Parts: sequence; C-alpha cells; structure tokens
Amino acid sequence: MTHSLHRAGTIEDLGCDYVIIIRAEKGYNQEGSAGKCKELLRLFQKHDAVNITGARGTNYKGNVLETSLDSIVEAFKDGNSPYCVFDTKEKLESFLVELKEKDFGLSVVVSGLYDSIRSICDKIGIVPHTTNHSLGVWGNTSLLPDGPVLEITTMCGHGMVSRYLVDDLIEKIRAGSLSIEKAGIELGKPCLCGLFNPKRAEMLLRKLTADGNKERVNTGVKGWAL
Amino acid sequence: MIDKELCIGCGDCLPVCPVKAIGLETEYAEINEEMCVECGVCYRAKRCPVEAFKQAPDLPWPRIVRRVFSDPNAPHSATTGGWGRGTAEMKSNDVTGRYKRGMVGIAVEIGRPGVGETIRNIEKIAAPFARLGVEFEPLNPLTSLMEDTKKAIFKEDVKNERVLSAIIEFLIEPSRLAEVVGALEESSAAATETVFSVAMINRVNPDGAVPNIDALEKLGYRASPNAKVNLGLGRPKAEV
Ligand code: SF4
Ligand code: SF4
Repeated sequence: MTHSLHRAGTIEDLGCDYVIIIRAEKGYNQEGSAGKCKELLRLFQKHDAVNITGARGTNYKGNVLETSLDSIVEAFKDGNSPYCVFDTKEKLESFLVELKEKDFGLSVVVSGLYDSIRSICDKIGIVPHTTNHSLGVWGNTSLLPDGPVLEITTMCGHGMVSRYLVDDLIEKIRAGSLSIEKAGIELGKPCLCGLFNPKRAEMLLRKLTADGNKERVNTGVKGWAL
Repeated sequence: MIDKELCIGCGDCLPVCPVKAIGLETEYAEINEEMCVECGVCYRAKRCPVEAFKQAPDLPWPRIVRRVFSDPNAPHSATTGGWGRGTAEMKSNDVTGRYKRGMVGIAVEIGRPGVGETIRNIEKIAAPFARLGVEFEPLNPLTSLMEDTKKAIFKEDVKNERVLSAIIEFLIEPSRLAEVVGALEESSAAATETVFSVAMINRVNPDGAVPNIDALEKLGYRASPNAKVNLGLGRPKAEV
C-alpha cells in the first residue's frame, strides 16, 4: 500500500501537497483505536485539511468532497485508518505540533517533499523512523499521459482518477459549462482514500486550460535515472 | 455490467474508467470484460442518468482476483485482511519492525500508474527479481497467487486475470543494490505493455540520515524529492 507515494510533479507543485496517513496496526495497537482516530479526523479539520477520509468497506461513506465529516466520523471503526491532505507546509507544521503534543501512540506517516518534512521534524524534535522514496516509473512510459494530467491522476495512488475524466472535464471547462473549482472537486471524488488534493488539481487545471497553453510540462517522473 | 435495456447510450460513463474498458456500441455502452479490472469506479461514479450499472456482489474465482487487486474498497480477506494493494508496508514499521537497519526494502508496483497488467505478464516482470534469489514478502497478496515463490511462477488459473496494479515486495542487503538496479532494468525491458513504479524503503539512521540514497546515486539513479516518512510516533515501539 504505497498509495501516497509516486505522486508526479515538479518541486514547486509538490510544495503544496502533504498527505497524512494514520495507522493502527492489528495485533499491536488497533484494539480500541477508533476513538483516537475520530479525534484525529477532527484535528485534520481544525488544521484546515483540503481532503479527509479513511473508513473502508461497509463503513465507507466517501471523502469530504462528497460527504460530511460527521458521517465519516460516525462510521469509523477499529481498523479504519484516518487520512488527510494539507495544501501548505504551514498547515502541516501546525498539525504536527499538536499531534506530537497529544501523543496518540499510533503510527503517523507524512508523504511529501522530504526536505520540507525533515525541516519541520528537526524544528519540533521528531527523528523520522523509516522512509519510502520513489525510484520513478519504469517500463513503457510512452503509455502515460503528459505532465500535468499525470500529476492529477497520480494524486490517487490506487489509480481511481481516470486520465480520460481529466480530458473530459478540461473540455467542459473550455466550453464554459464547468468551473475549475468544481472540476477539482469532481476529480477527487473517485479517490476512496481522500488523498486527492483538489486545490493542487485546480492549479494544474488552470495550467492545462490557460489560453494557448499546449506546452508539455516536464514533471520529471518518467524515470528518475540521472 | 451495464443493463442494455436501461442504457440510453449517452456516453457519460465512458471517461470515468481508468483503463478505457467502457465502449459505446451504436445504441448502448458495453464493458470490455477482458480489459475491465473490476475497480468499481464506474459503479461508484453515479454518472449514469438511468442507473444502468449493476455491480455483481460476488465474483467467481478467478475473476475475483481482479477486484481484490484493483478496487481499494474490496478487502484481501484471504490474505492480509488489508485493503488496497495488500500490505501495511512501512506505514507501521515503528511498531511492526518489518524493515530493520541494515536492510533495504524494495517495492515494485506493476501496472501503476493507471495502466494495469495481466498476471501472465506480471510473471515476466517479476522473473528478474526471482533470479536474484530474494524472498518475496509472504504477507503480500501477490505472493499468495504464486505457485512457486522461489521462481515467481503464478498459478495457471489466475494468469489471464488483469489487475490495475500489484506489488512485489522484498528485502535485500544494501551491498546488493547494484544487482537490484540490474534486475529493474531487465524488468523494464520486459514491461512492453505496461509500466511499474519502484520504491525503496530504509530505516533511518540514529542521526536522522537516510541510508542508501548516496549509493543509489553512485549507480546512476536518484530517489524522488518526495517521500513517505514514518515519524516513529507509534507504540509499542519495535526494537529495530
Ligand atoms: S469496473 Fe473499473 S475497469 Fe471495469 S469498466 Fe468499471 S471503471 Fe472500468
Ligand atoms: S451513462 Fe448510463 S445511459 Fe449513459 S452510456 Fe453509460 S450506461 Fe448508458
């Protein structure tokens, strides 16, 4: 489950995209964890996360782009994992400060620009435990869509956001029948884990629909080989 | 499936399918069963004006393989009990101690991003790693589909199934990083009809430095600037 890794993007674009994954592990600290997780979901909201969810299977209610936080919190059970996305480094920092203080004892993973995460950790006194770095995309990369489209679709690591949906919504934006803000939210709905960042999607859609902008943006994702 | 009697052929559902498995016949939309990975996106999308999508609650073996690997909302009940592509990987390493100091974790997610692949072709992409003599993570659901885990040979009855992605996971000593990179290049050449995303997992040094990043650069490859970072806040702490 590397669903928040492999997000394509330039350093600039990735600077507005930080994912939080909380994990209560079966056989270790999962029993009775639902209460803490519910508190964490509220904490995500307090620090102004741009997307939130977590519950799965029959408890699944959607992410906050399509349902209320209350219904997500209510459905939460032991074994479900809270997830959210912050669109600024400042929000991430204020969340981590409070998280450290509250000391929930659950595993916390932050996904985003490593140097930014590391500098916040240094500042607030956390030594990271384990890292997972992407080594890029291999194989027949000509099958992938171009830069900004790939940046949008890879915000759902499970591949639920279709590149063809991006094309479809771009056409609607160009035709004037859909706003960029609504398109950003629409694109995030298929992402079950709520890791899709609608604010970043808006920014990318703006690039994609700008007048005369047909230029391909090099995201640097197609193989990280030097 | 799409109920042909209900479908009015508006085409609104077509773009939501990540693998373009929905096609429009003259009068109605149809799902290409071979291409469909049973990810469930079209059923959840609520785009169809006449509610023509009917999802089978249970799929027979081996078709169910498609759903458990492609639909994050379908649990791997027979294997790890998790959702998504399978294991907890490094997300709870601070309590499970799965990735220890002095070892490197490698995860190769075949089909990602958004392309998909059949188990038959996944076998070809996995072969170079098997030749390294690695032990594939036993708790990973892809490993459970193998008949021979040493050679990465999959069970015959699942080979025609297509999934959106599936992950190969293994641990290796850092001294073998060059061999891993060689195997990745070999797998890359074998992946003519798909792509795969590669990840490297490291237990951070006590001084906060991430091992093996420099060694990788010396081999001519670099890690992405964004990473997943386990902050080590879980309890009880694993001794690793
Ligand atoms: S289940 Fe997924 S792959 Fe199959 S038709 Fe629907 S969206 Fe496409
Ligand atoms: S959205 Fe519904 S009615 Fe329209 S083509 Fe698809 S299945 Fe048919």
